[in-house]
Amino acid sequence: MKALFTILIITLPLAVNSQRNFAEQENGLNINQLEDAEEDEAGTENDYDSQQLNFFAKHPLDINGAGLEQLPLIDHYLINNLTTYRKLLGDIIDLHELQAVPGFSIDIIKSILPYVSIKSDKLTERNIRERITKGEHSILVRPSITPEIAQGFRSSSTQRFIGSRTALFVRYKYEFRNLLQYGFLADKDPGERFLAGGAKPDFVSFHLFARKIGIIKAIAIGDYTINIGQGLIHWQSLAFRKSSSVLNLKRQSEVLRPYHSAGEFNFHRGIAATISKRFSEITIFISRKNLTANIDGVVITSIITSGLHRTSSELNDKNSASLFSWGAALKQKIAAGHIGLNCVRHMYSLPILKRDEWYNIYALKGREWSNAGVDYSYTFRNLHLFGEFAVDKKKSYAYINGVVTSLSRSVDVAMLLRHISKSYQSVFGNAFTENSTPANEYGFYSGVSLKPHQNWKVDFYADIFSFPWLKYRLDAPSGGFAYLVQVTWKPARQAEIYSRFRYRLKPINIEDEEDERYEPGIQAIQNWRTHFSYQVTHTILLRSRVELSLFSHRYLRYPSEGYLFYTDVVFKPIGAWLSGNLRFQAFEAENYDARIYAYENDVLFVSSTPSFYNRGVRCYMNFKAKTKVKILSNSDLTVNLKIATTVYNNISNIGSGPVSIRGNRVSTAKLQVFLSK
Amino acid sequence: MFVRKFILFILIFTTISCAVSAQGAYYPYSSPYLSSAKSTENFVNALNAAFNPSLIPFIKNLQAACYAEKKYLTDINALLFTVCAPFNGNGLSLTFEHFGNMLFSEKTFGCGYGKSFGPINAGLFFQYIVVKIQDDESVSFIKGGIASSIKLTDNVVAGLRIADPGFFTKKETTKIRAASSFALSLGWEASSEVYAGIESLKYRGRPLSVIFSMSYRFAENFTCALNWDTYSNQPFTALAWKVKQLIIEAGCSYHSLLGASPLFSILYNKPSSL
Repeated sequence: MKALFTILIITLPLAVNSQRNFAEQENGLNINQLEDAEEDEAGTENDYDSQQLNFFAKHPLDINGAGLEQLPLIDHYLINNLTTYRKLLGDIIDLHELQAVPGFSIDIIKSILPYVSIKSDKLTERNIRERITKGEHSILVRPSITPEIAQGFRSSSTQRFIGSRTALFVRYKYEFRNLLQYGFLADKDPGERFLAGGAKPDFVSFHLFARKIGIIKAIAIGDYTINIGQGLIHWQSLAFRKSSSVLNLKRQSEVLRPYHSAGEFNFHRGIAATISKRFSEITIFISRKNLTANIDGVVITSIITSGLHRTSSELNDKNSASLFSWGAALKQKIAAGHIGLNCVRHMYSLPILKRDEWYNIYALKGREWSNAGVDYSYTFRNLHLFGEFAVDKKKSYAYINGVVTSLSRSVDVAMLLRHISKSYQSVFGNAFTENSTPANEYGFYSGVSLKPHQNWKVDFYADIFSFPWLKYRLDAPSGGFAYLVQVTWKPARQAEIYSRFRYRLKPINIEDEEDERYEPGIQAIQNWRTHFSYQVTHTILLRSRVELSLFSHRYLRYPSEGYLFYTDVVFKPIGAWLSGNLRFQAFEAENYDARIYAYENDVLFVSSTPSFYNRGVRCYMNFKAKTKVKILSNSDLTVNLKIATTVYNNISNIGSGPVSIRGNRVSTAKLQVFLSK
Repeated sequence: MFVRKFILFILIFTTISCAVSAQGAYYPYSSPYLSSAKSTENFVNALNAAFNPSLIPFIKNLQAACYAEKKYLTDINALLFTVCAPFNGNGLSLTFEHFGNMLFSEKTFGCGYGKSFGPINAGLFFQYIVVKIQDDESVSFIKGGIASSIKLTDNVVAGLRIADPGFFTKKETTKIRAASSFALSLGWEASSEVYAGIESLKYRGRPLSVIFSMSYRFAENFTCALNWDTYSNQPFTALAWKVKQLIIEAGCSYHSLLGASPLFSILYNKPSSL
């Protein structure tokens, strides 16, 4: 009876809307979130989520299984709703039935459909031999080059790069379902050495990761990431802050994740394991890794996280210090929630002593640092509550409490209160804050998502924050706010248009050009974007965007203005071996302050959101070819090629310092070969 | 139909806003929590009607209410008493408001009248405002305005409020007067439990302020609310408890530098006579 009900009634509307979901997604991730993350300097080279989605596209997750938290597209609130639904009405028997689960909108269902199935897969039954022998191998090679020669590659340069102009990324991975994986990667950025003159690659990473071995839920040897609570004490994976996905403010992830990405700082190197028994689990990790740091005598003055080692002075800083870390996270699941106890401790090889500045008075100091805290989540009716309370070595405290709720089918609300004292510090913290690290901030955020009509959606957020102490480039305690409103309209199944306005007031030191001095002030940044997508045929999608920016502060006689326009043509025939996209873009922004960010399609696993200022045009072509080859008995070969060029017409020198380029043109060519079996 | 009505509203709003010259004036205090919130039939109350008389016909029974706010936990207080008496599609409201402390005070005596013309309600209001600064003579003036609410659909109400439009003022006058203000609002009852509204409010000489308000009746006798005012950049949150004929509400607003302002209100709703 239930089968008939679900198949006949529930599938009807979805079948009508079965047009491919061309909403703004790339590699399965939300483009708006990725763009906003880059703007908030929360971008990361950690492509774990993209890799996971690529994996689940091949091996969909069982929607009735226990591993749904591995899917980065749905949050705990939805997982809880699904669990409650299954308890009441039994397992999902058809994916279209998800429409009957509270919170699962058509858009969410469309976004997860490629990655879930109703086929149960009893993974734990696989024996060790099967895990080792029956998995899939993949190798990825990605060279890229900028044909124009940067200053650092010229013999006349005072900061001469020691390596070649080519960037190279190589990654090998073995993976048996989600139960065993191992692999290594090697990476060099432009200007770094790679196997030249016997030198080893600039960055090498290895990981071995297994799941579900008896009571061991997960074990990692080599490189891994640890993600705890709401990020007040430790969060190393990709995490978003304010974006047009106004309800997405909760940090959620497995505590222990394998790491095999190009980023050279945000991970641990050592051993870690999660042991799980019934409703309890504990994760313990121990790690030691080398750091790139500026050393002054016997103290570390700053830690360099860029991962760039192109000049002899950058190379001298490489491995000049080390960090030993250990910690534990205990999680007790309770009905409709969990409570966790967490602690981490870090020991540097040399003491940290940052520059003697007023804003550094509360900065992290000394050789050792530790944090401890409690985190929780709880679902009560339609309310999902979550939060974390943390203290550091000096007993400074911080807390974050949030709630996400669906008030009706058309109204969803999220709120988050944060209080991070001016002296609170953490080494790998990454919470939902205005600052790039959780320190020196009080704030209150609320986001509302309204669906007044089937084809209309209104998203709104407001965030108010203050900094009780000075910070970098801000010489007084101050505060600010940010607002965003986005109206999305789907006039037809093939078309979507959204327009959004964002207004931010950010406190910062402002230059008074007349007196030639800086003093604390407020800068106002306004952005207005209108974006249009239209699926012309099953094969061709057109996208266009216009964005304006306005930057002002009290010493600017006229505000700085920015403008960006682009049109994309996306060519994606169903079942064809070749697909691609082209972009033509024009931009004009008076200066860096009025810059505008725009997401770009890139090769698989890479997300790219450059900012644009000055005046010019940009074009790129991005092609993807997928075929079967006879290597390793019928493997999938995917080749991506991206060629991009930007031509400026108001400058004759692009950039500054050793990466500057003479002339008004800068290009990139990127090739990626991905072989998997 | 909905779109036409809405466009008409926008046109009226922009025309009147543009017709006003810019000049300095006094800005009487009004809590964004009260002045903007709740404009649909099932959520409106006497406190909202005190600021927008076109909402009075939505009120079914006699209501009396008082509201108190302690600004930033200092000695600056805001107090408001109001009575709203509806009768046969019309209604009257009387209001007394005090704002200030020992050094400065602003007292407002107001009355409003609202009448229903089917899907459109219209309202008139007058306020007598007395401003007193310690060791100085008090200054008084009258503020007046009109308001209108239109039911665009069963659960969407658009509102317009105009106070002291500048074209009634002689330019040479030196007397103190209230700043002109124009407000356009849209209230939407997403369900019988959820209300969402937005009001854009333009005072002459000030940047445009947008006030977003939400109410959620999460249990039979409990309602919570969240408002956000973009002029002062303050969120307001409140929890209301219905006890027989009384609605008791407590909450607070928060300013990032000045801190929290607790607020409290009691509303009495006379039971319907059967």
